[in-house]
Amino acid sequence: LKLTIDVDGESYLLECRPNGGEWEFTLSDAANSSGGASISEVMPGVFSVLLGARSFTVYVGPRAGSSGDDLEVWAGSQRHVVSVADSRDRSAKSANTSNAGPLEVRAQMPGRVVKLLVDLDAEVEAGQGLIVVEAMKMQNELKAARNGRVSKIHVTEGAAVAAGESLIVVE
Amino acid sequence: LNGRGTYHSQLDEGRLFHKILVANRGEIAVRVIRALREMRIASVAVFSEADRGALHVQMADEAICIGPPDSSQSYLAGDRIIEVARTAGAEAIHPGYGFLSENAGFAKTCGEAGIKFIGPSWQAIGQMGSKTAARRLAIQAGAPVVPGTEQGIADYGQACNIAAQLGYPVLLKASAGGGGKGMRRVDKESELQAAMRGAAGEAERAFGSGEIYLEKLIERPRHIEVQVLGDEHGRLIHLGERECSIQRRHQKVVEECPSPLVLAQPELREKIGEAALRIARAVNYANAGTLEFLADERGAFYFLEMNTRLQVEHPVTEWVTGVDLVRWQIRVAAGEPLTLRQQDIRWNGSAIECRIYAEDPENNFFPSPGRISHYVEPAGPGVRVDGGVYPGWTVPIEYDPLLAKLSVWGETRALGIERMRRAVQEYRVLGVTTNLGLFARLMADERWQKGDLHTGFLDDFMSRSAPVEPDSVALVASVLAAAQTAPQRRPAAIESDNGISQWRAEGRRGLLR
Repeated sequence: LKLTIDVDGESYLLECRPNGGEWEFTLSDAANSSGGASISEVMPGVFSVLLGARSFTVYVGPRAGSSGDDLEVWAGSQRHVVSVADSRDRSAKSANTSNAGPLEVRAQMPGRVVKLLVDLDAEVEAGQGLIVVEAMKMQNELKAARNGRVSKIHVTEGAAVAAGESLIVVE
Repeated sequence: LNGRGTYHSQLDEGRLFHKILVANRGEIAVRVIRALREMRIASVAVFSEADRGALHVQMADEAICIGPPDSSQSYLAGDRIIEVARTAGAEAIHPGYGFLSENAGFAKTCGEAGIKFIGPSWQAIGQMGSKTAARRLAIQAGAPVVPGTEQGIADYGQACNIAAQLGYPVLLKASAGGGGKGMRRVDKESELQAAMRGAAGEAERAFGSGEIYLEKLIERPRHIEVQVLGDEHGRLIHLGERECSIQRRHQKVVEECPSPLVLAQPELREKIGEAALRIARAVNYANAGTLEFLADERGAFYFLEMNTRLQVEHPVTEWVTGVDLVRWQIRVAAGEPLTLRQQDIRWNGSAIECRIYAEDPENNFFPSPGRISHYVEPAGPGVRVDGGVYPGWTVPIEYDPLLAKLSVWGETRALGIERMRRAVQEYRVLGVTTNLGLFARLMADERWQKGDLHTGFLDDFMSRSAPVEPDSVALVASVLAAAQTAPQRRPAAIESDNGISQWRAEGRRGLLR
């Protein structure tokens, strides 16, 4: 079994095979970790992981404020954002997130559009503010992740928006 | 009395009231319901349509929906709440904090409806409701206040003269304000006019009144407050101070008792406690209340304002004094005399509280509502959690994002900090971003441990604190656990294993071998 795993933006290759009740694994991290691990799902989404003598309780859940496949993983008091893909799916996935295609700016949480900072067809630069959304009495300015042109505006000022709803598209 | 007959008996506390309505939500509603259950008083929760599944609804004996999610039509709808209290047969209303707790009109209407408002008199709420009026009262009572104007400022010319007299830097504040809104620091005269416009505009929008006033700015101030408790027969005591200097956007995040400043200058507690009592006596204060002060390094202190209600951070006082403040609120509201005398109050050890918010400290403390997927509270010696959430609960966007208050007690401040560090490590909240990681780093901070605090401490800490060095073995454990959840992707395997995780399928094959 081979998996490509992204942890906090870094990509790792995990190879593992079952060995009795345990797992033999190799991970392409800085230390090229390898060895045996005992993994037990003690509650749905909660894993007891024994690595040598060290014991970790690892919590796995969907990532806060994300509508995608990202996972939020806690081991001890350490938090990671993780996504897991079979290494074969890798090429298709990375093509999707590359810089070439349209970039959708989505609402991080339910709220209300306070102000549109750009017009349709405007050229924008990376870091430029696009839209101000208010949620829980706080205003948040969403910015362009890269240079491009505003190709779609899906909302108007004052509109209520749901979490994950597409607001603006930059191409 | 309200026509239902005698409801207070000093012999049997459980018969003070038979039923009390809790006009609040979240952790404070849960806190009050717990006290009511211990006192064998039936509890009535009220809730908005957004809170049908909320913890306080589940915990109460009775629960009644009072309106739509918008709090102006639910938790702030005083007349509706009084009507519900009547229908349910509740003899009293506990307002918690926020919402209607400091609304003199609501307290008055409760009284007229024959329902006891658990708090001070509506007159005392009204007198303390305006910061400028409270300040005049404090001066008359002989308590120190920050040098500044007593009335709202009429115009720019007047402001110039006053600021020059006080000496820069000065602080502009909103008369009706709170939470840092309508507040501006002014370092020199050339900045004054623009700052006045900004502060007045912000105050107008936030509070409906653009009245502002001027104060001398105290550099590196500590926020220290005093808990008072009084009955309706004239006895009033103080329960010592709380230090609440760890704030973000002028809102408290960490509170403790004793204040590190009192640990260094023990005589300060009695001095500031006496000042607090003088002010509270001036309005014949009854029930629980808090007087807020600014203090500087030398131990000089100045009265700021009074909160005429139970405070969010009351647990640290309860830890150190052993006094159950909510229980006493209910007892004195029923007319019972306060049997605690000032000399009975002892302060034992040190308590710290962290407010666990659904917010992201790395993104300017922006709120992060959502569904809580995993939730595990810490436990063990000296740990208390006042929570209002549970796993599976979706934190609504309509209200304050406070999830819970984690408080600990230790024999000393240093031991309290170690215990808080341990408790924060045990706490798990997934699905919403919280500020737990911030507390883990703060507890390890040397300046925090030394108690060298001021209200700008947290901003300064955020800019200098480096992320913790990650544990590479924990990363491996995370990867292995996350891989367990990898969805089935190979078509052949999907057919044979019905979408069971590829890992589990391989594991099963491994065991069969």
